[in-house]
Amino acid sequence: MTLLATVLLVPWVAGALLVGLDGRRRPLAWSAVAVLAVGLVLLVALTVRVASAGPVQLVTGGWPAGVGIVLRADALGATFAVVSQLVLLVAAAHEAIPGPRARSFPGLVVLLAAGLTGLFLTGDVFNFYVFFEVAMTASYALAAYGGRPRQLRAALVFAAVNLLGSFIFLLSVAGTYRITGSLAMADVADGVLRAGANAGLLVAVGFFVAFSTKLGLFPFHFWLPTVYAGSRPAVAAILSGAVANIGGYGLIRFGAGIFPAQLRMAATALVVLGAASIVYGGVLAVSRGDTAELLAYSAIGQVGYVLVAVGVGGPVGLAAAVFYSVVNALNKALLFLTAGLRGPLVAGAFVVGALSVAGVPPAAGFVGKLTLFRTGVAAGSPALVVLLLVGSALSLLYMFMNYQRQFWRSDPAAGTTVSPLPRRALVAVLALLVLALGLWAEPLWQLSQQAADLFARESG
Amino acid sequence: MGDVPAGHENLATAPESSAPPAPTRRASRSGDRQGWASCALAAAGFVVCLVGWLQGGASSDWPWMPSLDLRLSFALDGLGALYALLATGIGVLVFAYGTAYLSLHLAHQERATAERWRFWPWMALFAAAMVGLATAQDLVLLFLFFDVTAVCSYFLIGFDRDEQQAHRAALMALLVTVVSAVALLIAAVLLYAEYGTFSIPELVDRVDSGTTTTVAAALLAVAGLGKSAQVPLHFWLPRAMAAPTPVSAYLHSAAMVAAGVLLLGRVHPLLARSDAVLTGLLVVGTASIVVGGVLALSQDVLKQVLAYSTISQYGYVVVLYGIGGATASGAAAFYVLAHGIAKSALFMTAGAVTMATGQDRLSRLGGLGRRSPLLAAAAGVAAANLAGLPLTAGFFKDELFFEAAHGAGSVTTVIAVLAAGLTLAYIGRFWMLLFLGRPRTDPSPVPRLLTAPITVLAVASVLVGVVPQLFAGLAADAGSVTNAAPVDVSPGYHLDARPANLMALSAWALGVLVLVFPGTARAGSLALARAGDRIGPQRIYTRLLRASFRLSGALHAREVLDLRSSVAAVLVPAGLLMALAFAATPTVGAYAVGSPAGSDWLILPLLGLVLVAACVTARAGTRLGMVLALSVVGFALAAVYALNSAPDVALVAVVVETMITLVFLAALARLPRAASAARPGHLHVDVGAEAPLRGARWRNPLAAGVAGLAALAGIWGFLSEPDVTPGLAEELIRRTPEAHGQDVVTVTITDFRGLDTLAEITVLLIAVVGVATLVRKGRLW
Amino acid sequence: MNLAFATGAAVLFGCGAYLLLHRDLFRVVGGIALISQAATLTLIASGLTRGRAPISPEPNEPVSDPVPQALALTALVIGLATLALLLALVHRLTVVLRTARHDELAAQEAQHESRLEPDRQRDRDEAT
Repeated sequence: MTLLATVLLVPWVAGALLVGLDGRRRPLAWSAVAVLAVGLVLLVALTVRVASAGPVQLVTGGWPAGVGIVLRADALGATFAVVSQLVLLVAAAHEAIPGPRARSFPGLVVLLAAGLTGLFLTGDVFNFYVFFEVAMTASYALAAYGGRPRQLRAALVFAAVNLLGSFIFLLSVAGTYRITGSLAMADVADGVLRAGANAGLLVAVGFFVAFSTKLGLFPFHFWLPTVYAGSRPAVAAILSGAVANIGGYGLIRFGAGIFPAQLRMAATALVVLGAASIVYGGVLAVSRGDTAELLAYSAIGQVGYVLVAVGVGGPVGLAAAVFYSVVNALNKALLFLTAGLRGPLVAGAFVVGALSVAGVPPAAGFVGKLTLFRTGVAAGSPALVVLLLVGSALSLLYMFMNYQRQFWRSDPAAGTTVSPLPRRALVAVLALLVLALGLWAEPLWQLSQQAADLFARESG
Repeated sequence: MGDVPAGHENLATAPESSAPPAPTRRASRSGDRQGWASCALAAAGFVVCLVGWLQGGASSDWPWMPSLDLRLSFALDGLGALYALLATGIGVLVFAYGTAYLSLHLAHQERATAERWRFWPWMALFAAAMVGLATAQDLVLLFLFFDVTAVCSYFLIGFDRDEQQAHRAALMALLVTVVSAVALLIAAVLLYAEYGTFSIPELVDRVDSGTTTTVAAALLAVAGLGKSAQVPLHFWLPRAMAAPTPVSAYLHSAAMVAAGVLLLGRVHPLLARSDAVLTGLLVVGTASIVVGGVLALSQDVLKQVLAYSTISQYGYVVVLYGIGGATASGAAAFYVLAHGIAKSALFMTAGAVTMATGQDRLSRLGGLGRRSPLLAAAAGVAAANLAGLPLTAGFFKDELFFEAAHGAGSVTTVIAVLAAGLTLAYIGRFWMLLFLGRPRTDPSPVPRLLTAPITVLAVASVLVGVVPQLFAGLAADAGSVTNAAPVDVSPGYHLDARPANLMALSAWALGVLVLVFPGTARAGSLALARAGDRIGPQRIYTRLLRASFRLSGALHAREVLDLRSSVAAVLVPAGLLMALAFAATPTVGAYAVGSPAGSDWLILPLLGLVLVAACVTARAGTRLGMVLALSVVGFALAAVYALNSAPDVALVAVVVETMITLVFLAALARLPRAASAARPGHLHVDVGAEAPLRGARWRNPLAAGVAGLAALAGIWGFLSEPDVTPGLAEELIRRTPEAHGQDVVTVTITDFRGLDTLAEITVLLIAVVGVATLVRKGRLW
Repeated sequence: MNLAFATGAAVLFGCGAYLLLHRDLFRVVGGIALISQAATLTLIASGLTRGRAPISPEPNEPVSDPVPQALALTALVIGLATLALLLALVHRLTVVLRTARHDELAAQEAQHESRLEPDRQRDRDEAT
């Protein structure tokens, strides 16, 4: 219990302190990294605890659940919290090495971590909204990091579209309270079962729109290329590897956890939308010349897999969705961070990321693809399997064309300024993690299965 | 070096392919440490595998990912031993060859010797992966090694980074082998879903015929055929010849392409459950034999002849697997062994010749036999091995092949004879054009390290040709695994009129015939090549890629990535989804109008005011007008809240609305004076083809209308839900005195849901920081 | 009353959406403001009970539902914060680019795109 509270409070308090100070100074930037590292350690400890002993719950103020706010750490929330924290840590370190360009950067990243942790570990629908806003506001401010017109434009599009999504989410929260009379997720889930079909589905659609916009699924994806390509690499890594996780988590928690009947009703539509994402993202990435833009379209394609897995549902589908979300977050963080670097280790790191996106062993993506194929076979649909195959082929094509363009074609115009070693080493470590996860995915898969089992009763 | 012999026309050499300078000893003196280390590694592997096999095999089984049912299970059974020994044995020789070749190659291209680090690790990893692949007993583990070899091959083909050919070839090889390998993964998942295991021995025991088995078998076959460069997935192999010769000699003759038939051999009991798949293998094998063999007859570039030959030779093995049964299984195993030593020797010959003369085309080479008799002899033995002439291992490979083919019917007999005839023809042409006739070039001496491995392989061929039992035992063991039953391989010289001998004789006759009429053969081959260019699989591949580029570009051109589309892309699909949801659920009785009571009669006109003000906001002509209308909306809503018995909310709404108005006014004052009028800003921008304003007139109201309707449907829908018991509200009201307060709402936000309020304050903090950073004229960036 | 509140919220949302699609960035922010008002109104309307204000309530009298009121309070403040941030972004962007028309911004992106064309051509040649 205290672990749960500490995990939440550490980045929150530290962030509030850091954000007022001048983050351009190295000691400050590194202390932010240290805070994130401590947070990561605590989260891992929490995850171990949850994996072995089951979910941990805490209600604020000691009030009964429902009156006070329920905070709950279970396998699903803990997994997402750990991976988001890891991505934030790496991105913060990436910027701390040369020194941040803006004074608010380190503080904002830590506050973003606080918001995300709170969001993943809360068991209350409105509290989810509030932490969601904390995280999103921090990321709106972060998106403009760098100050160039491209970044400002990216921040504007990001903020406008996601604010729209936030308010749609709020409307759905109002609807949830109205039809169930409570705000604690467990009670809401019970209430939804008793509510009318029409209202339930309409509210669920509202949530779906909000989360899909966050993830960048087709057809809500238009903002994504502008934002991911326009922002700085570290910010793009944060947005795609940490903030986008809100969407994946939300789909699973709200879809399978709170609105399981509506999820089943809409399963075909979800699978169709996911398939459209996979194909659209893959096809569009093929002709992109700019690496960041290519990665943005790749992101659209990759999250399609998560939606397909959620749509198919069941223990296999949900576990595959969780696993793939984690792998995708790591891939994207790795790839976005390597995009701006040059030097000996960078090509290797990029290759690992490319192999992971395409699902080629020994990178982590191959286990993800394996679980997705199992989902497809479990759904009994040859079309789904063919779709997964086409998606893999497309990602192989565009990733390696890009690899060849960046690292094989010697461009005499580009000065070969080698990036500083610490940055390259950081990216290499992340690549090694992705490789290690591919060779031994056991702990992550077990966590994913535990996460899926939480919803076994409802979605059975 | 000697004079040019009399009578030889001094052919002017083309500018780009002059004879290279004499290979200095300088490069090799610095020592290719990485190469020798890899060689030692391969040798160690060879010894370990040999000892292991002689001791009767070994196996190990470790848990890998228990929750996914994946195990690290390896077994050095006959099949595994055969491929592992082949990979490591030929590896030793090719790596030794490579130490000399690579140094020369790098020297000629004036590249740094540090580039060796981009070569040897991949070669060594590849050898290790082959051993793993050969001994793996778990389908997913097999898939892992399968793809590791493909990745190694990609980097090795692309070793000559500056050649566009190499880029294209590497990408093509990667795409074809990796995508066809996914079929293996899908088959594994299918079988797992049906039988609950990934382990190959267990599957071989449990599987019976059925649709799942047939589909899985077909997929496994596709994976194997793609890897072994069989028709129609064969077009990547000739392209892959852009790799340096050691790579071609190792990967693309004896190791990587062998992985495909290894897969077929290992899962053959599964394939055999389905007649359709076996027939398919026969057809594909035959097609590969014919296409490879015929096309090899007209190829000019040395390595291309050998590439097409590889396609053709593995076609033999696929045909044997299609035939199935004990004889064929043993024959296939023996064939792979014999072919491996022959083909890699021939590739190394091609490399040595190219290094010595600087030419890589048959039309510019000739008469090398006089200069390098040892090389000619060794290559001749290798060629004879391939062609199945007596006193070489090849004779027995063909004998076993003929026996199996004859036993399967007359069609296969004819195919077998035709195949062997073609082989003799094209390899005979290769050797004769290279080593006989008038010398056309002036070769420099070939370093011993380049000819020694070829000689070793030639000697091995002859040894096995005399004492076939050296390979027969291994082949029998391997065949037993394929056949899932004991197999006996007993090749020998029989001087009688048995079918195998007759077939051999007719094949040789056919081959000699083709050699005697080179013109006809060449014409036919060129015709096939032209047909292939026009309608063959490579054209399909290229077309497919180009089409996807075009589609991608076209789609992107249609996307307008500005803010309006991004927003519209959220609103319109959201509206459509809501409409879908609306249509999909029963709505009769779900919408209640509700009746006004008491203070509601005051609320209604206020709501009317809100509506009017909202519309004014939307259509305001000036920015100031919009801000003022916005504040009217806000204050009117505050009044609505007050009348709705929400005094706290009303108070805060007034304060917030005041602040919002002030912030808007401040922003308005600070914005530069540009346009609500349609004057473009000072920046001259080429607006180009995007953002057509004409058609957009009706689009905005339409999108807004859709959004509004969707919102109406949704909000009215859930507001009309029958009242749920307000348990939470009652609970909060009850507990307020405990929390030392009287205003329930205040107590809620400060105590019960205080965490929300803390987070809300954090949002304010972040917003303040964000605004401060943005507004301070960039001083803080 | 359901219909009244729903219509109010829907019209606010619709007008907000209309403004959100406007060329002028300042009006886009106005659109967000309207949408946030729509959301707050909906929250208040989602009360499960209607009656007196929930201050020192008597045991048996109908009281307005305090839960959505608390939510609305939080939502109002968060809306203010994000609105201010968005305005600051618009302001900065306008100052830096000296244009508040986002189709011109899009045109600049199109220029960047066309500069990448030769690279793309080489990609095509290389892969096929």
